[in-house]
Amino acid sequence: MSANDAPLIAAVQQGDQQALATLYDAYGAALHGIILRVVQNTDLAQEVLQDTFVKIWRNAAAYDPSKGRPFTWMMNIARNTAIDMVRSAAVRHSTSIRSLDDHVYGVGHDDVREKLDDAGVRDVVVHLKPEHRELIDMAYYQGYSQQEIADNTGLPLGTVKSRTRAALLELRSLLKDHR
Amino acid sequence: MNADELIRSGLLEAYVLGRTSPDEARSVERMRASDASVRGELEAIEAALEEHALRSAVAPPPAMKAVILGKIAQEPRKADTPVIPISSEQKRPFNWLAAASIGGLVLSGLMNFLQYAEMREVRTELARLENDRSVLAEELGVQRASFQQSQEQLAVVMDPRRRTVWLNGVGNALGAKARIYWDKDAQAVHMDPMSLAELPAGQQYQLWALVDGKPVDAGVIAKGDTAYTLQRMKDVPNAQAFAVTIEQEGGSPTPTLTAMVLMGNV
Repeated sequence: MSANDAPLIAAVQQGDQQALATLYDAYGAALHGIILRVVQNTDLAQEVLQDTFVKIWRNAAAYDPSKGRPFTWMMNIARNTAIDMVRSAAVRHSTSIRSLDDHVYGVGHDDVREKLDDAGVRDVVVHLKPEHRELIDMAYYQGYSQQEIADNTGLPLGTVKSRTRAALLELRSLLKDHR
Repeated sequence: MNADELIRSGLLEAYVLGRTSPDEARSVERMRASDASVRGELEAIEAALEEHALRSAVAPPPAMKAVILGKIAQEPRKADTPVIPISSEQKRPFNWLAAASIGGLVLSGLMNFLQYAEMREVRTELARLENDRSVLAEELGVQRASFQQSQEQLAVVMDPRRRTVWLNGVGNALGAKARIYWDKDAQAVHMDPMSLAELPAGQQYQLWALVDGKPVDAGVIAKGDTAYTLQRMKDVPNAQAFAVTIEQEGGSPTPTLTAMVLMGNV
């Protein structure tokens, strides 16, 4: 599916608005799901989604096919934009970044929880082992590096690395099983 | 670190999520380029995350698409901000319009030059024709005057009321001849000098009418170009003979009889 997206990115790079519309139709909801899990706020998520597509539009030339598939590139734009939003919002509120314990998957505003519960029917993450789910949450939705996760959880860096891999392997396995 | 160790290390997952240091990223990319299993593992991780994202997708509000496309439309058009090469030899796109206008200008200039040259030629020709025309007009005037004179002379000569009086040479001018056409009713006298010898400056032939034995001035004979054409003399009402003498230029009140050259009786 994603192999056909490289020409779309190239078209966006050329200023083709229709190509961007096609990308939005294909991935807007997926990126919105990621963003919503990061920012835990419906309004902020929509703002971040807009910013994400504007960045895709502006920076299409920066996409390098040799470094990964188009979705990975767009996903990381969405994640980074969302994570930046959360961190700057935290700074604005003069509060420290919420502790990892408080900010686990599924915890947030009720409307967000409702949306995510609807999506959760199809979300295999709920079937992950708790420690894998926590790692996915930290690495994927909060953008922490493995060193930061190790610092925040008190786990050895080697354990964080192997557990990240184990979590992704379990995710891949679950995706296969629930296909 | 070999391929298997890299795959098991969890670094590939961190790489896909963009959470590796620049050094780690470089080593992953190096292994990806050289090792098929690393390549396959990275693709599997990417595919898993994409599938996960698609499965856990949350549809944004329907209006969001129009909002985003509206924002995109307000972005400066990419075609308006081309990357300008730093090279001094900046290739400009060939401007057909400019080329066409320059071509048109050159063509127009050429046409102007040709037309100017042609116009100058036409002007020269026109001047030549104008000159020819004036020459012909002048000639026509001369011919017309000549014709008129001839007509008048012919009329004089042919006039049945005129008498022709022959004058014959006398003394030194023996052999010379001249004619007089005299209309006695109108008293008009015309003279055809014919072959009178040319006179030096200061002298002029003068015609005399002999009326009852006395010479009466009948006018001097013209000198120069009109010397030998039929010419109107003074009116003479009555005469028995005509004579021509050589007098001072302008004529004399009385004839110098010793200088008589022509004589003829009516």
